[in-house]
Amino acid sequence: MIEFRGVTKIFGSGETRVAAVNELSFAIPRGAFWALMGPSGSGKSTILHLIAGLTPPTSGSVLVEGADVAKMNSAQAAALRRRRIGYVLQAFNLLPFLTAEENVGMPLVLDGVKQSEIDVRVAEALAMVNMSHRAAHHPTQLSGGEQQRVAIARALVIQPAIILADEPTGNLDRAGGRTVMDLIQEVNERTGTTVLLVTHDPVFAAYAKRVLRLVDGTLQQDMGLSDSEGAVA
Amino acid sequence: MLRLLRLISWPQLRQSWGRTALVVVGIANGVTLIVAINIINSSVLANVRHTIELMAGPASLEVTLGVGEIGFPEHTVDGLRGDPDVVAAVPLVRGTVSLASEPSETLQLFGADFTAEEELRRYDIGTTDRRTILEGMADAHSILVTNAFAERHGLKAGAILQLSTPSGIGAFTVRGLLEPEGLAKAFRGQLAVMDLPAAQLALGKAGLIDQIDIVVREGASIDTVRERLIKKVPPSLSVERPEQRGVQYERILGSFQAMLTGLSMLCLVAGIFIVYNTTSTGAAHRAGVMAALRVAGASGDQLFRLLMVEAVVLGTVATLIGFVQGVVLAWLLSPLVSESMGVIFQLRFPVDGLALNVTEQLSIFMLGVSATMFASYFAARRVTRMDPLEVMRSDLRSLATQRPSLHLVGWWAALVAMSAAALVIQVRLRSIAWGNFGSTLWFASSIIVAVPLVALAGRMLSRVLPRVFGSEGRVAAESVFRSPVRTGVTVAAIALVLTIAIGLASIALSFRTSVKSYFGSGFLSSDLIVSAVTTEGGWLETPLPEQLASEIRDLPGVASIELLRVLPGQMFRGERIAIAGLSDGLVEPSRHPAGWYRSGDAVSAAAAIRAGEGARISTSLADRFDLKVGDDLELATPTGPLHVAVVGVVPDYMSDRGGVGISGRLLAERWKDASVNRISVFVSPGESVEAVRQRILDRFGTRYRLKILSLDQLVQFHDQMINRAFAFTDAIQLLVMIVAIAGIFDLLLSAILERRRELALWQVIGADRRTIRRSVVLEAGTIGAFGALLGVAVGLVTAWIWVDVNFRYLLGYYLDYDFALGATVWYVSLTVLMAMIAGYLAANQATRQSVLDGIRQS
Repeated sequence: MIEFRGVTKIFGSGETRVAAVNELSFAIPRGAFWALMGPSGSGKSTILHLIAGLTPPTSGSVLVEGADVAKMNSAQAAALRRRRIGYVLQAFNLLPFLTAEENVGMPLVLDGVKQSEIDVRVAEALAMVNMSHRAAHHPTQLSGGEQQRVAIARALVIQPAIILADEPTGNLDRAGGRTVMDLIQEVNERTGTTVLLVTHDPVFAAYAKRVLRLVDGTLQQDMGLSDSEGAVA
Repeated sequence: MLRLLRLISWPQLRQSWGRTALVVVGIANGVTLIVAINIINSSVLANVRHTIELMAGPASLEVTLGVGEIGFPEHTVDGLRGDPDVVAAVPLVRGTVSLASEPSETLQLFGADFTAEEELRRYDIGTTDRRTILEGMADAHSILVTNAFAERHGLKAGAILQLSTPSGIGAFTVRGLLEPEGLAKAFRGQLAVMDLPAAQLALGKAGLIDQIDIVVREGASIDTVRERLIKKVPPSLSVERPEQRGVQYERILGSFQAMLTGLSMLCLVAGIFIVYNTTSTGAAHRAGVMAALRVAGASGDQLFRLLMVEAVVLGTVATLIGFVQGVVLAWLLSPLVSESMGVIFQLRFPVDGLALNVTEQLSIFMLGVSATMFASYFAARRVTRMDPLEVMRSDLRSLATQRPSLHLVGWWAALVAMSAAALVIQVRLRSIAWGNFGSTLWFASSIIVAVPLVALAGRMLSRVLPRVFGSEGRVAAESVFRSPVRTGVTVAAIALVLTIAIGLASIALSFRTSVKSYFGSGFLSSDLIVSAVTTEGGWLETPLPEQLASEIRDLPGVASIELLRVLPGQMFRGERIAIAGLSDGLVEPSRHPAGWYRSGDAVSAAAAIRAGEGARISTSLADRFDLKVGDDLELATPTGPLHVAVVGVVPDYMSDRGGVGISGRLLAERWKDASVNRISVFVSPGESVEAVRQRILDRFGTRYRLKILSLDQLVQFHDQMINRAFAFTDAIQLLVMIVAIAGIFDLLLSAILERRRELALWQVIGADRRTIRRSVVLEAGTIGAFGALLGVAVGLVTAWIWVDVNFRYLLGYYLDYDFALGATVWYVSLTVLMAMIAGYLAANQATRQSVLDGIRQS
């Protein structure tokens, strides 16, 4: 499903050169729920960016559903995000001038899907995150937890193969965080969507079936919690 | 794409409505001026053509000398009437007269052969029986006026009208009123008709006519008849279809109209720049949204297309608004432009109605939309190429900060080189289009160079400002030069406004100084200048009989007089020039300041001119036709071609395309013209100038409406004329100023408001609001002063390009370059003040919020 083959990502040059990811190899099977943990600057978010095609690796290959993301042009990478990857960020990244339902429908609009179909799929996605009653509200009218649920609905609306969740609970309190994580877990179990979660918090990392601990861009620890699939080199 | 426009673009455009409005206003105003100038140009030409059509009536051919402004012998008509295919050959004479009691109320007087007119039926006399009236017109004091004119002055058939004519004041009986049909619709009804001999007498054109209208037998080939008639008239006369004269006027007015188009293009460049600025500053604000969309799966190309479609929509709206504004502006400006053309060409160009050229308007529409797309392209490309991850990590201010690169200097050098090349090509090919292109490129290059210049000056000012203004100076310098691109863009905007203002002011001043030295200190200076009150449309007064000059010479207290006769409508090698008839004293070498003769010897030139063998020509004519002293000059006269030798090249402002000065006696003989436009009076030593003036008025005041000016008053009169000629440029300046000032405010305000967090942090560490305000005002003032300096430098060169290079090919006048220093000081002070006000307002707003709110802002 997702495979890293000797991936290195270097930022800067000369004295400022930093290897955010260093010769990393692993494979995440379809339907898995993995978490990435580690201190700030350990390369967790960079791994998500590499998978989403937001930044190319310096060396190595990143395969998503068999296709090498590093070889994709920006339009192909955008299409990958639009159709196969749901991205959930710590800062929600909702567009403030759109309502919740408009935010959720945006990836489909970008993909040129008919409005009637968008309406149906948005309603389903909002229902899945229990936000149907807030569909017409703007982000500023929603709490942090609600905004993140809308962001998850936006990720779900494309019926993704993969959900990349980058600190989705970072801006939420413990209760709100749990609600969001319950939701992500439910999606993973109900739809078989592969989930890769980045978190600092071991409580939320425990939702995953496997946890990779990173330090300075290299794998320090691989903890299989309840999932034995996949491989880490 | 429409859904994206509705969901993404529309809310954002609505949210930052000020910026959206600025984009729309920037392009709308640029388009407004182009539309207005285009409509005015089309309208003037359409009205000229319409007047020619009305004058021609059903005539298929016209016989004229040149474009019909110079008379030729009436007997020419006799040779044409014998042609088997000529149904009627109708002579016409025309000139300008005015109400004796109201000299500014002028009438175009037409003298027609009423017997022959029956074939043409150009006039519809509605009062009583046409034939009875026409019989009564044989009386030399009978006149027909239009219904409109009669109504305005309460005239009825039988009323007596006192008119000031070139042969003096006379009483004329209104025999009938002309219905607003045919010729009576021309000149806004300011028209009168008399019998031909009577009109010739009143206009001082005895035995002369201005045109012959030919009605060709139905079924006959007009071209064949034309070929035959050409052989029957003297070679100096032309036989053309009436519409051909419209084409000739189109050519005559072409360069002036190109100048207007050039000015309007500057306004569009200003508009493009404002849009570029606005979209660039807006780009940082939109970067976050674009980044979010990229993460959600939008491709950079998709978002770029969205922003360009947005530009098309805004450009379309702006262009449509510009079109409506343009029509209104054309309506408001057309009298000013028409007046300006009157002053320059000595012709009346009344615009009775606006004319729209649909094809050209569609081109302008495309230009407006393309300009918006071009101006938006750079910001769109930048914002959609930003790394979304970088955007999400950074604050907005850091995104707006770019380091200037050396390639801008390269671009600037390339544009300057291209501009210089275009100007050289203009001079070589005498091409107005290349000149407009070259000056626009130079204008654009000054915008580009602002950024590297700011970066360069930043190093120096970063040391100077702290020394002079302490900590506030340090903060201001750091802020101004932290982002040379942003500062450079604001500086360029300010420089752009100043360049236009300084350029136009310098052109007007150069014109004023050149004309002033021509009339005030040149060969035309005298104690008093006597002329008719009425003008032909511009500065040139209607002619007076030469007899009047002789009588003035005989008055006590008058030492001597000199005479000037100007014929402005002379055609020479396809250009409309002026012929000046000079009395002997006017060519006296001692009357000319040193260096007046640019080529040729003043003494031998005077002898040759007085002998009727030579002519002195204007520098513009010499340059335009590559004429040198000794060359033969062939001039078309009513009595056949005249050959004179070029004996001198001098500055001359009688006509835009050039002038020829010959002996007044030669002019009278060959042009059959015994009138004068101006009588220069020299008062006897010890005699009071005022007393002589009064004596002239007492003696001739009842016979003629005279204007008697001292030299100072004459200079003032020409000053007023120049003001009239340049009045429309004030409107252009105002338009550019409005857009640019709004743009400058937007740039300064947004630059400072984006720093609210930084300003709040200053307050946290102990800076009071007053210190922050002073620092921000200092910052804005520095930017304003920088812009002003660049504006003065660029304005200096731009004005030189226009005065010394472009103007010669656009208007034809050769002017001495005079930089408008006074106006520049005023504009610079105003600019710096405006910048400081903008800074103060922004600082006030930024420091009004609570410090904690400011810190929370990203």
